[in-house]
This record gives sequence, structure tokens and C-alpha cells, in this order.
Amino acid sequence: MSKREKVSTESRSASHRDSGDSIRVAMDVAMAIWVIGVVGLYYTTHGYLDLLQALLGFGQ
Amino acid sequence: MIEPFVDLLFLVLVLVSVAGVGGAIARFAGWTFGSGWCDVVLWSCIGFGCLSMFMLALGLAHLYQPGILRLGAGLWLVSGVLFLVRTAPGVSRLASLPHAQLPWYQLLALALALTALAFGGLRSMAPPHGATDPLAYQLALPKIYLARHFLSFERTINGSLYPGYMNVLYVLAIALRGGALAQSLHWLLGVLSCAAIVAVGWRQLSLRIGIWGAVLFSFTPVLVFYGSQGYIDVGLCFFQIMAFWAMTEWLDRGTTRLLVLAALITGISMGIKTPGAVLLVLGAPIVMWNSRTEGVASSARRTLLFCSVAIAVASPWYIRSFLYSGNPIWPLANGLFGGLDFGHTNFMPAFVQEAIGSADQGLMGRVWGVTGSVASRVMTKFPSLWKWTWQPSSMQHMVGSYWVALLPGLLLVGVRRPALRIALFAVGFYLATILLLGANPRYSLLLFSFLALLSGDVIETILQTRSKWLGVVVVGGVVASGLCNTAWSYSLAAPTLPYLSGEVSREKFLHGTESTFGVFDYANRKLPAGATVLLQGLVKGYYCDRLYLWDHPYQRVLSYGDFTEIDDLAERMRELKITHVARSIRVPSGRVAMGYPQYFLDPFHERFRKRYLTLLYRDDYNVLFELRYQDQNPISESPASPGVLLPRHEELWALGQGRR
Repeated sequence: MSKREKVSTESRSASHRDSGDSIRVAMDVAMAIWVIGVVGLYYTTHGYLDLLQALLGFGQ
Repeated sequence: MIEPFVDLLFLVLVLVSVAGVGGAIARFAGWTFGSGWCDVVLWSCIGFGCLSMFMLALGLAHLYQPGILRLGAGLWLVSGVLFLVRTAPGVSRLASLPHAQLPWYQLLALALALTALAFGGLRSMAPPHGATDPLAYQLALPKIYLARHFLSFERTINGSLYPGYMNVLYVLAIALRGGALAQSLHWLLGVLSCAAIVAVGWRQLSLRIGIWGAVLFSFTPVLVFYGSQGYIDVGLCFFQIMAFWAMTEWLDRGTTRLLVLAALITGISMGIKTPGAVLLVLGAPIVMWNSRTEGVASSARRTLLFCSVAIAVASPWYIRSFLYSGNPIWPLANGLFGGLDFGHTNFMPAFVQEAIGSADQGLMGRVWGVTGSVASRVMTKFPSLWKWTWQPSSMQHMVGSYWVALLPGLLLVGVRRPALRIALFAVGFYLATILLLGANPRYSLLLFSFLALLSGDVIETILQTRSKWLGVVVVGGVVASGLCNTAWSYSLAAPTLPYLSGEVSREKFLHGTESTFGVFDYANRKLPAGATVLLQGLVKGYYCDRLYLWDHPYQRVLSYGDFTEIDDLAERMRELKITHVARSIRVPSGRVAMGYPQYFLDPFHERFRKRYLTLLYRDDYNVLFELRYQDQNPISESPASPGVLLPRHEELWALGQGRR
């Protein structure tokens, strides 16, 4: 393999790695948003925060 | 103040006795799950199962005498302690669990879960109050069995012929201490379910996944809410988890004795509640498939062994039901079996009704009907998990946020091979129980134990293989929600604290928390021992120590629609030897829709009241009347029979026969 071909292959695999990493990070971000969204929405809409406030004596 | 502590002591003694006896049986039969911790959970399961069967035998033999039950419990305790003392070195292997290296955040989540469970335990130690089903069936029937000294058939009480391996445990608990011990027993089975999830996770995946699973499961709202009350569903869940575990051990190790163990525990599940049979339906094809390499004959033999052992263990309940009513699952599917008359003939999934079909439907018509019905049901029920998360229609549909939040993570991390078995079981159980049978989450807690393990796998895989900050978000979500869940558990337990601390007496506590306590407390103190009370608009008869009947619209012993004249109704009540009426002042609209009269607004019942009923007691919720028949010879003045509850079910039975 010539030097030029070698550089080109490395560059391509680095590009694939970068692209794979980007997808991986994007999926992690999506999962984080999903978890925060579901847990946050659930506990704020099912009365748990009011309960915590009442138990801890906030807002009274 | 001393009472709750005595209950707690009894609970510990029950656990020691069942674990010890279960251990001795497991040792004899060669059943082991491989380590101290896992084996102790297994011993508890075997011990509780055997205790249930022992109690069933006593009930069928008319031996529910307080002395016999105390003697039996004492013998169990001595046997259990002897075994545990003899095997103490083996039990000490339990200590291997804390040696595992657990990260601080998992220990924190575990501590929150244990705190929430402890609040649940405190709540269970208060006298039974509030919930309808325990005070109508699950605890009320055992109290009647104790009074009658056997497993009687109470014709007017809907659940009287349901399978009852949990109910007979409650018979013992009530005989030893009372309803609070029965509730604590149910709570204990919830704790054991969490322990079983840790152990299954440990054996199949990893200890950390098992602990995550137990933490998430312990925070499931439906478990938190119902686990401390005298229901039976958490007990069913415990035995189902154990049956699944035994099945997986058999799949891994292949010894026949493990298959028999899986079948025995499946049989106990079927003998707790009819939907427990789903495990048999799922398990039989698995046994057949797994044995296929050994040839058709061997595969069939193993499947037959599994099914026959499970059915044999559960069968006494179904035979009992058939002998009393002509329907093995009375009053469910009564249209199919044609059992003793009951006001509601369906109580079965639509696809079963389609399968039965009408005479002129033909085979293809039925097949088409079943297919359409199943498809429609699957379409309707498929989004159940999502719906239960965001819009639960009642407490028994509240499943929490973890499954919707974490299970999509399986797309991220994939289903690893060891978790695949659990995932497949979860899908099978979801299809059978939720989509086809339409069971609600309270009946399907096993599903959430599977989902908890899968979610635990997601958490652990994210922590090990994904971005660190994603792990922080996920674990932060679990810990933050754990704080909220623990706060909720505390708020549920808080009303019982004044009773547990001795600040409020049992009577005062019950007057404030249980609407039926006042009327029945009066009835127990003032009515003659031979009185028979008709409950009008009420079903919670647990606190009534006199013989009582329901006037539930579906029962066929006393149907108001059969009478146009109040004198005829009075004559029927005289036939049933009813002496008093306990009536709900305002019947809830849901019950009126079901067919209950709104008695005080109903002209027929008002005419009856004015002519025949004399007020003895009233509070904010209920009234108690005495029935005065026209000849001024109240039945209660006839010679009273011995005992608090009269063994007159045969008479009720005979009277009911005329109405089939």
C-alpha cells in the first residue's frame, strides 16, 4: 500500500470513528433527555413535589 | 403500644419457622439454588408453600380450632428453629452478600428502598382499614372460616370459592394475632419478592443488576400501596417469581428435581389466584421445547410431569369450587361452565366468549370471531404500559415511571444474551396476562419484576459502557425519584403512627379510619350471638362478628327484583333468618350503577323500612336496624345457637338451590 493510500485509509477510518462517536453521543444525549423528561414530568404531574413540599414544610 | 411489637415478633417467628421447615424439605429433596442467600429465599418459598398446603388440609378436615392452630404453629416453629440451628454454618454464608463491592450511589438507592419498605411494614402493622377487597374477601373470609372451623362456602360472598393458598395463611395469622399480622405477612412476601429479584438477578445477570431490579420494583406504586394491606397479589407475585426462577434453574441445569420444584411452585401460584395459571400456559411449551433434543416421548413425558404436578397442587381449590357450585372457577366464566346461578355470567375475556360462540355460528365463524376479538384486544391493550404510566385509571393501575423511562434504553444497549430469557418471559407474560386476559397491574406484578430486572440491566450497562454523564443522569433520576417514593411511603404510613406509638387506641384509630367499624362494633357488643345481619350496600364485613349476608346484586340468595310486595321480601328475609340490617346511608354511585338500590331514596325500600325496620344505631356512614316481623316475634329471640357465627351455610345453600 502506497503512503498516499495508507493516509487515505486512516483518514477514512478516523472519519468513520468520528461519525460513530457522533451517533453514540447523539444517542446518549437523546437517552438523557428522555430519562430527564419522563422522570421529571412524572414526578411533577403526579403530586410528588407537592407531597415533598408539604413534608418538608416549604411554601407554608 | 405493645401490640405492634408483638405482631412484629410473631412475623419474625413465622419467617423463622417457614424458612427452617422449608430448608429441611429442600435439603431432603435436594433442591438448591447454589448459595446461602439464594437458598434462604428458596427455603422461605418452600416453607410458605407447605404451610399453605398444611392449612388447606386443616381447613378441609374441619380443624380450624384455635388450640389446634396454635399447636401446629408451635410445632412448625420448633422444627424450623431446630433445622436452622443445625445448619447455622450454611446460613452464615449469607454474609457473602455484603462483601460484594457496591458503589455508593447504589447503596444510597438501596437505603432509600429499604426505608420505603420499612414505612410499608409500619403501615401493615395497623389494624386493617380502608381497603375494600381485604375487608370484603381476603381477610373477611378467613375470619369466617375460623368461626366455622372449616373452609365453608359463603354463598352470598363473591370470592368465596376462589383458590385460597394465601387466604389460609391469613387464617393462621388471624388465629394467632389478628388482621394486622395477616397484613404484615403480605408485606413480608413483598420484601421476599425483592429479595428474590436480587437473587434471580444475581444468578442470571449480576448482583448489581439484581439490586437495581429490587430497588425499582420496591418503588412500583401499585406494590407500595397494596403490599401493606391484606390483599393476596404480592404473595402471588412472590410465588410466581420463584416459579420462574426454578424454571430458569432447570433450563440451566436440567435436573428433573428442579423441574418438579418449578411445577410445585407454579401449582401454588395457581392455587393463590386463577391468573396464576398463566405460568403453566407459558411454562409447558418451554418445557416441551427445551426437552426436544431428548426425543418426542421424553419431551412429552417432561411436559406431562410439569403440568400434572402443578395441576395436582392447585386442584383441591378447583375441585372444592366444582363440588359446591358445578363450576371449578365460580363465579368466573359461569356462562361456560353453567355453575350455580350468579347474576353475571360473563367474567371472561371476549375471545373466550367468541370461542364458545352460539350454536349457529359454525366452526369458521368461531375461528373468525376469536381472531377478530384477539386482534381487537391486542390493539386496544397494547399501549397499556404507557397509559398506566401517564393516566392510571385507579390506584391499581399506577405503575410508576421507571419502565417508560428506562426500557427504551434497551435500544441503546441491546438485550444481552443473559437478559434475553427474562425479556422473552416478560413479552410472553405481557401477551398472555395483559393483552389477552386484560389483567390490571395489581394482578400482574410478576411483569414488573421482569421489567425491573431489564431496567436494572439497562442502568448497569449504561454505567459500564456509555458516557459517564449519561450514567450520572440515569442514576440521578433513580435516586431523586427514590426520594419522592420514600416520601410517599412515609405519607402513607403517617396516619398509622399515632396508633403504633400508642397515642391512639385501636378502637379510636378504627373509628377514625374505617367506615364500617362503628356499626359493627355496636353490633358485636349489642346483638345476640344468634343474630344474622344483612349487609345492604356494604360488602366489608370483616369487623362483623355475627353471621352476615351480602345483598350484592349478583348473588342469588336474596334478589330484590324478585319481589313486588314488601311482605314477600320480609317473608324471604324470615326464611333466611335475617334479624338485623346494616345499611350504607349513601350508596356510592358506582355501586348504584352496578344494581344496588339507593335504599333511602327507593320507595320500595322506604316502605319496607317504615313497616319492618327499627333503628338501633347510626353514624355518619351506616345505620343498623332490627327487623320486626309482623307477628312481633323477632327471630333473634329464638334460642341462640352456640358460637358467634352459626354453621348454617347448608340452609343457605338449600335455599339458594331453588333459585338456580
